[in-house]
Amino acid sequence: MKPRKYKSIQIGNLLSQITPLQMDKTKNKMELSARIEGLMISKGWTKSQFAEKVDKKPSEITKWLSGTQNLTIDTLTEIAQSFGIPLSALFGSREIQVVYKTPEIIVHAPSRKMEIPATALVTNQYYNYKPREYAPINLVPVNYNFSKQKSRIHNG
Amino acid sequence: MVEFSGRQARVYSIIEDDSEVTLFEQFIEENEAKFKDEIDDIISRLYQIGRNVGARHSYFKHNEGKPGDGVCALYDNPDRKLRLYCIRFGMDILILGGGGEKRVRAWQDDLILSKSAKKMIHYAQDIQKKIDSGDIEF
Repeated sequence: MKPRKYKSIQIGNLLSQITPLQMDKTKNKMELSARIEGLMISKGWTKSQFAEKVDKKPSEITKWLSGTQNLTIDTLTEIAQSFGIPLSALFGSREIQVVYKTPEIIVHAPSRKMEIPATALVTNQYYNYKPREYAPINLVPVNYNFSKQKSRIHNG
Repeated sequence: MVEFSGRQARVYSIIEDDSEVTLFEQFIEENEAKFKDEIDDIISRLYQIGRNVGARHSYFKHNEGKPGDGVCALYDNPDRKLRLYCIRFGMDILILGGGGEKRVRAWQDDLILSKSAKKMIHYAQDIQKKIDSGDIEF
């Protein structure tokens, strides 16, 4: 069974009634929250840690990241300051490279099992300020050298 | 659903055997007259999820179903009245269900929400089984 394409006249009509301005407002709120979450992850902070930095409850952070909030300049200033970036950087279109720190990654190679040290970093190369929730599963070691403590891992 | 699906996420809904329309369209039909603004907001957000931002974990309320089944609700502020149930498979796949007006805190206490949530829990289990057996592929 394969899901099939489905076109809904009803939803098409509703979408056509939404003004470009309204759609832009939604888009900006959702993109901004994604950007804030990306920064939070790139700092290695949990929601609770982020909440502590900005002196809020974790439930407030959940709201901020939900993409539904109309955040004020004051709140955005607090957020930017906690990340150590200027306010304008929250709105930039520059890609954020998210780095996941993993305690240990075990890669199953055809001939042997290799343990990659805790210092290994998995970089997320192509997500446009959209970090995945988990590290990519296809990890291919490149030029892995057992004598060295660091190795590069490419997203498969 | 071609109206929502895009490069960031594919958005689906479910047509039951005895129905001509999807669960999501039924949800719209039942609530559009009373909550037009909220329906517009939900439609805009789903459009953005499919086209621009993906079905990020933070855009949903979780643990609406059974542990690990992916049943969740689109995030709704306390002042909002509507709840929409979905099944989420990572950031890329979202299956829209039904929902209704939030009159009580827990869905278990409301007949309409309870029916919608239970339906999605049932479909989540069924879909997972079919994915595991290879009967469904996305």
